[in-house]
Amino acid sequence: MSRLAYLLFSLFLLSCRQVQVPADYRQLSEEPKIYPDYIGVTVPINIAPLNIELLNAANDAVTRFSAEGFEVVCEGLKARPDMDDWHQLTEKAQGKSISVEVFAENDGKWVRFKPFDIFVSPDSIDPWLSYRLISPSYVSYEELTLNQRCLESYDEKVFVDNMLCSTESGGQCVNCHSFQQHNPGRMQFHARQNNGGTVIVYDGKVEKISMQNANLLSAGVYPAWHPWLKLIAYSTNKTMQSFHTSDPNKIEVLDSESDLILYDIDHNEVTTIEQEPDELEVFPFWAPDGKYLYFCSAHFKYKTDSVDLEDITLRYKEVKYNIYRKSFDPQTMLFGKRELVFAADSLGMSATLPRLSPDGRWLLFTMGEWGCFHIWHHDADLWMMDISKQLAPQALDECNSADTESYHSWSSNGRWIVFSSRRNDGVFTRPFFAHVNANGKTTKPFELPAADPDYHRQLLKSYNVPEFMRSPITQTPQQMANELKKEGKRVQVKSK
Amino acid sequence: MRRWLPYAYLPVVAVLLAVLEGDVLFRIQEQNLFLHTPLFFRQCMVTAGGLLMWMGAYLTQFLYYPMLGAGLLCLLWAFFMWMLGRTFHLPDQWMPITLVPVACLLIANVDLGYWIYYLKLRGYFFDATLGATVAVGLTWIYRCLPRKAYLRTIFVPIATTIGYVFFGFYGLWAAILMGITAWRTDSRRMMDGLLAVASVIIVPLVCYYVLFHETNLVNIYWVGLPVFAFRQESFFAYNLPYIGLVVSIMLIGYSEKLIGYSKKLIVNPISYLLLIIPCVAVCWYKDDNFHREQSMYRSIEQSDWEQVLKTAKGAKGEPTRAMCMMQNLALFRLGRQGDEMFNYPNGAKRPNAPFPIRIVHTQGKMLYLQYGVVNYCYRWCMEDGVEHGWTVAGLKMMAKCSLLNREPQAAQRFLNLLKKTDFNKDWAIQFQTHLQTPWQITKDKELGAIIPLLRKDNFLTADQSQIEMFLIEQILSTPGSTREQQELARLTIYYYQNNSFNLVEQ
Repeated sequence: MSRLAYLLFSLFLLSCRQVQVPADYRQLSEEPKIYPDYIGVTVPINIAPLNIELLNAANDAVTRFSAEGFEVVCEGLKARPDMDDWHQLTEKAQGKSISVEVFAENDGKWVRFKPFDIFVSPDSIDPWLSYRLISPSYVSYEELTLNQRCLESYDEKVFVDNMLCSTESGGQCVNCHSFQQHNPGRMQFHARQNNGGTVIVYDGKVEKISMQNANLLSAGVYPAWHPWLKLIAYSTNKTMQSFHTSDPNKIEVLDSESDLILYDIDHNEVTTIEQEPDELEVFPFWAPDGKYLYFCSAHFKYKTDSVDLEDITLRYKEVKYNIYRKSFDPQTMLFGKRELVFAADSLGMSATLPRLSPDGRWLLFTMGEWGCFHIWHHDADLWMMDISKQLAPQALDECNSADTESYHSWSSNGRWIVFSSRRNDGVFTRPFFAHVNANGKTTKPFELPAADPDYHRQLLKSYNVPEFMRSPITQTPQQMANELKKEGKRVQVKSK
Repeated sequence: MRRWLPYAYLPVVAVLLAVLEGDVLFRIQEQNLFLHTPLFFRQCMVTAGGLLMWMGAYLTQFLYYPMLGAGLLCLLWAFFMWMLGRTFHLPDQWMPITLVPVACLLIANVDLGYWIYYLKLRGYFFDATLGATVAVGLTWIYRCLPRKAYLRTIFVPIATTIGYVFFGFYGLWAAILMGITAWRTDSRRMMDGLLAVASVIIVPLVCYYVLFHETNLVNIYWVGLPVFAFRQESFFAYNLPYIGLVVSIMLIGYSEKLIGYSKKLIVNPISYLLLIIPCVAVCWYKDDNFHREQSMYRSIEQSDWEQVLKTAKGAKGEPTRAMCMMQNLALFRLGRQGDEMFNYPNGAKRPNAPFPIRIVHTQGKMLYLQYGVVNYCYRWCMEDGVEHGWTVAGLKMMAKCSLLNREPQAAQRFLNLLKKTDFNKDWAIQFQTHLQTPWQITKDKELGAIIPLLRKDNFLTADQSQIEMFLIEQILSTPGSTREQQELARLTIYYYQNNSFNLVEQ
């Protein structure tokens, strides 16, 4: 018995052993190769530990994170600082930087890579992020979940899981989660096919509605909550897909027709916002003051008088979206005429997903050479323009990569953006975060931290539609499934 | 009657499996994926029965060497038979009866045919064996527990919960077996029996609301069993071996008290074999075309084109389109299609399955790759991976497509995953040299032959799951195809026109 106690005590002591930073090493001039690439990134003060994995060949490694005399030392090829230590570290490094030194051992000899910094911004980030986890397939789907992840730790929870409503013969797609002003208590998402409809959560009330109506092109698709009124603008889309035989983009997702509608939650009514002939309207987004609705629209005239799918498929490169806006009077609930905000087509480009910063100054959008579905376009990049000064947009070179950057959203304090990027491998989308200062300058983005730094290289799913939230969603997947299984309340469609 | 005699049949079964089904077993492991990562384990555990599927997927890897995998399966069956004997106190004369559930397990694996491409249950080839062993094992533990202090009674809900969480349906089955055992042997039979029934009803419901969010409420009692459904249709007959398995073990459990009364009826193991062997033989899926498809696929993987033709030539009846396409591909690769195409069996026999089989889900992805239409190969690998589960074969092809498409980072991702498997990591490490020395790809036996077929021109289109029609159209209606490709396409069209095959269906 005493031997066992001794053994256990020894193991305990061993586990408490202070990791020794090598004293004898050779200094290298290059920085270490690490995944995720956190070299020189700027992070919010409240972010979870940035765990890293050393990719250089090594038998062992020691990593020292230090700031203002406080240090955290980790052993092993995967450096995973303790949560409390990390938060102490970021507290001390607030407004400054954490220095990271990586030592690697090969054949008993240690080397020290050139240290790098992680800058810690005093601007905090919304503590929760929601997203859909989806395999990057084209037509098929199986498991789809809407998840929420605490950015201050690694806690991740599912709040909608399509498998709870799917059967072997009847699948269900869930998509387009959206919030009113980052409020998880006011959100919506769609379900398609089996038990299809839109679930709207508003201050504790969960309700399923059905927007299927002969007078609409489709049920509501891309949503935008009005900042304070109980209104959601949607696009309605007739969407189609075609596949490239050899182009690396692999697929084109096209709208053959699309309009904009407004859904009034209290009155359960839908009215039309935009239904222009030869125009494909999509991606509505409200200005933070609620007095403008921004959206994208592409002018496309079919060669014949009617919608011709073959025509638009053959001419897919001609579909170029500009950014427009319409004034909106919250008192009368009337919209004004469309105004051009940015003519992307004049540059031979196509702009999508307009998102205004919470102060209403910066318009962030994605731009690629054509089309509206830039997540499948390797050339898609983030651009930003100063709306207040009507300056020409600039590409966010700090944030953009050689591969796809697409869906993006602003944090509630307007100091952080999250965006989808396929920079790692061109296939799987990962969320990246970048700081935006008052002058619209962005920093090198950092990938969503994970408890296992290798996690995102193993995960065969994409992060889709990352959206910040102030707090977590309280509904469980089972509650959402119960609601989805009900018949949706049919909306009334009123003419314009 | 020697107690070991029933076990003696198992090596015979292992050899039969390896010899008759070697290519199918190899294909089953290619359609499986097990990764040595914590994430893979966690992803398995999001549903009840997750551990069962994880273990099943792990063992399926061993079918890479069909004899090894079949031997392992038979070893598990031997253990299962031994446990059955111990749990239900079977005397030596009764041991042959344990061959009945084993026969059910064998049939459940050899009656599948084309289901191997569509079943979504991870590790299904070993799941039933593992699950049945766990169910019987829990019953054995129940029986070994002393009767004092209600230990057995307490064990019932605990075992059901643990069994259900980790082994799904088989945990519930264990509860029923414990209930039956209590009914037959225990003085507290009412209490334990009722508790077993209550556990079977309540545990899945509690798990649904508290633990898991991946299983529809309507399926919580069956999780861990394969679902034989395609589109809107279910195929009940494929569940019969599972029903036979459950019923036979329950009868063995229930019949315990009968031992001694009817010894003479069952002592002779030959009488069992007379019943079992015809049943297994009838249910064994013996379709010649299906087996030739697997063989040809494997030969193509090894770039053994002559063997492909040899297998095609031996077809016993009208071949399937997939066979013809593989045979034409082999002739094309050998440059003999013009001379020999009409010397080989041709046809469009519908695959022997109770539901429509699309070539894109079976051999189509490989055919797209071999004809240089890598985007479509990649696309279908992705679609099938998502819908029917990721597979070794899919990841390998996606790595090849990515490399041929000059997407080295994507190729690296798929290779990184394959490096976490047991039997395909060497392939991944070897293939990785192409990423480091891309100029050497042309020297690769397989990829080197595909590179000249890659097209620079691009078209936005869709194959509507009609691979052969699409390939012919792609070759004939667009510039950029090689003379040999055009020749093959014209010959195929000519063949169709003369034989009026319904091309659209496959």
